[in-house]
Amino acid sequence: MKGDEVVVDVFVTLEDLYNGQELLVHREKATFQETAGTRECNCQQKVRDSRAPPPTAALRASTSHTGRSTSRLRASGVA
Amino acid sequence: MVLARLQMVTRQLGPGMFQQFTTTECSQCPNVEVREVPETLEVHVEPGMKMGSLIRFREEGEPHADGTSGDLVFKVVELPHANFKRDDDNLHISVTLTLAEALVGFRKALHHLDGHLVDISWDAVTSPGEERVFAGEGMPIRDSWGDYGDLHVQFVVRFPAQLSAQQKRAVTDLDLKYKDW
Repeated sequence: MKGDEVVVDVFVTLEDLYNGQELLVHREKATFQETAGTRECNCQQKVRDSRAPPPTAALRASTSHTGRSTSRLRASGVA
Repeated sequence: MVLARLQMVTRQLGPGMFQQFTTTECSQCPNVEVREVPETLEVHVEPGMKMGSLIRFREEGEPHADGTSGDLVFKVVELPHANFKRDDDNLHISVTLTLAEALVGFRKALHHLDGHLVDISWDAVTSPGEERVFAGEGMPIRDSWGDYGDLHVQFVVRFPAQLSAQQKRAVTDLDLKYKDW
């Protein structure tokens, strides 16, 4: 990612453009400096793996009554 | 500006079933604040630069907390000159002559933009509005070192506002004498 472009007009005379000129420009440069605390950033990328949640109580109950295979039921129940 | 990166995660919920969602990563970086630091830059205006020419300072522009700084760009704005007018690489100037100078010629020199003199002397008739081109006396051409555009000098003849009876007679006498001039 890149910051914004800053465009500044410089006013020069025709003499400057004929001979070439060195202009001294004074400015207050904005810089980032570390301070206390933390911030949200995007310097790290992590892929987190999480397990699928266990089947709900209702699903479990229906499983025990009908005696169908758990995996098939879970699939249809969530869908 | 702090942009939290939203990352796409694909999760399998069951056989043949997936869920995608985004997560914000890392919130443990040290905090930063913007501080202004005084600094002096040297801006080089090269000979032959034009209105709108850009002088670029890489990564000296707006800073970015999570990336590189933008660029700082100086844009050339040409101020109007009292005598010379610029037309791309060429220069134009207007020189006023008296009636006598226009008729018999003159010795004149122009002060150029760097102070050197350009001899524009002429020992013949100059018509009002006549333009003479002095090759190589224009603006420097930026991309080819040592090359210059042309200087166009336009001559303006200042005629007398009115003539007295005596002056009129003198001019008429001359005209009668030199019928074919």
